[in-house]
Amino acid sequence: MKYLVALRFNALIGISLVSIVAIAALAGYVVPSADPLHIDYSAFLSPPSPAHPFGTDNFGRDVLSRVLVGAWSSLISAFGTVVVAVILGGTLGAVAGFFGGWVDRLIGILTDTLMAFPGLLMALALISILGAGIVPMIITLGVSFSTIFIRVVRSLVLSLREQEFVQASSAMGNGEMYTILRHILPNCISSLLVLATSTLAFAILAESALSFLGLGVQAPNPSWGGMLAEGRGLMGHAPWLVLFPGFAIFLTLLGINLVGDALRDWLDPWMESET
Amino acid sequence: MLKYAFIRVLAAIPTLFLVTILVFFFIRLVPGDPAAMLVGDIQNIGRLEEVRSSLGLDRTIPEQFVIWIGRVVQGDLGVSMINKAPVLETILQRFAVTAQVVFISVLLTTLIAVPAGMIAAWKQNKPADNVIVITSIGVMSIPSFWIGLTLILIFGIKLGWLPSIGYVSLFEDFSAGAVYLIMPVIALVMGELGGVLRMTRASTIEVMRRDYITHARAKGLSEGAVLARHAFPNAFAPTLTVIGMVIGALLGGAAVIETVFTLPGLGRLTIEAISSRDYSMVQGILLVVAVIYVLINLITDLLYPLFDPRMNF
Repeated sequence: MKYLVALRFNALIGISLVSIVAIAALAGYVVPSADPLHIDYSAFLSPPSPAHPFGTDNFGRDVLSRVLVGAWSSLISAFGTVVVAVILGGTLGAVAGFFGGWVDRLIGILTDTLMAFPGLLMALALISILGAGIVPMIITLGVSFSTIFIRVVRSLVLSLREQEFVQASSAMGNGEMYTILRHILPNCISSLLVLATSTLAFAILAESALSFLGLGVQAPNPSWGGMLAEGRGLMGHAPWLVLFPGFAIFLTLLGINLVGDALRDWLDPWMESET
Repeated sequence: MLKYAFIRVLAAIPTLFLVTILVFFFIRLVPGDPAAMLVGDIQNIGRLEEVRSSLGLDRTIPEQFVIWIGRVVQGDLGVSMINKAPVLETILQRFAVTAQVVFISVLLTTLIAVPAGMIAAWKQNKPADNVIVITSIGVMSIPSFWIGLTLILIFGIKLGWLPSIGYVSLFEDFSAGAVYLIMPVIALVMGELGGVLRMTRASTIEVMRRDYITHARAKGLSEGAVLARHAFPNAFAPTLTVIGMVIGALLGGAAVIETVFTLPGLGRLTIEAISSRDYSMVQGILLVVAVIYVLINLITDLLYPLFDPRMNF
């Protein structure tokens, strides 16, 4: 019971953090406090002050408004990545698990091939073909994160396929697509939700890493990873350039991880008996 | 077991073949080619054609692939198209740097995360567990490259205790090399700690409710002995898989940490090779990384029976 209280407390902190970041992202997108691209040479590299709470960068741009707009691009690309990964991985995994046979083997080889490419290397190669930017990054990350969904959904479907209600549905003459959508999919949702939440955290990390390497969101548009890369050379004189964007990433990930943890405890039947 | 290993290696061949084909064609889809990089002046058509034919790029892509794969099966990865350095030697040299950082980090991560995860599981839902779980979530939420930057800012720039950039091989000068590795290793350990810890905790919790644990306790074994002799061997297998995945991912993809600390490792070599369109180098790197990945998976699977004798091949 005590654990349940601690758990709820964690979940509450997680949800608040995620909401704060989401509201900040929306605010940064809808009503930028100061133009994140506005160059002001009279105020470059000024430390945090009432006019610029997070200071300014080497072009005199307001770091706070850049962090806020960065939140928008981080969240959008992370959500996009998870959507691509869930749809692509979920479909391939369900098909592989439900039909088995050569389809399963073909998808298996495809998954192994994708997994043998370390994510970052694949991202580098794909992004140099598609060009750097948010959309190519979403596609790249979505494809590389889809492998885990393929595996999980495949194994879920394999075990569900043998269950009586699925066999009954087939015996009643329902089509395969109907059985998958009506009976198998709803039973995968709680596992998918837990997996999607942890993937969201990984996607934010990967997005900031790619933007840090200059492969994601392109300058002058702000992104947390890109701001870290730009601030890196100047951080001895202007530590706020790397402290605030990094702290933004930390709070976002902390929020998502806390929510994910609470979801897992709540939805995972094996942990349930503990609480 | 040898037969199993042999079958596994054979089964990896289609995957490796597919990886090489994909890499070969993908890198040629990227706009710009090594000839353009070497000549610099893309108006100079005559010179471009000359360089292309000297690099063998005037042939059709399938022809180039057959020539390349023919050499690869003889163990010849060729030379860099940009600076003529032998590909395999360059990769191994850069890999040695990445491998030092990664193996030390993974070893340290395991030594910290596995006992901590087991203690958390043993004290499940007690304050010690809560502290460990919350700490692990906190650590998981800090990007390792930001830790790297912050370490450089504090210990490199402000305090001046450690060198912020550069690298000395441990095998050439151990103490100097160790000084350069401290910060990258801390950053990587903090990056990977959370995942391994949580896996250990989850699998230990699962094991702790088994009958043989109750039996071990009932026969009067101390808690330490129950954990070490009965819980650990059974709980370690899933953790081993995660550790294998971490090694695989880091060996090919420590590029960000290598960039932060300017380490001349494999990740940075990859970025350089892709951006200079060094086809032969990119093909070589991805082939080597895919082979390493397959080998690490194989080694992890072969290690399972050491911890869990019920598994055999």
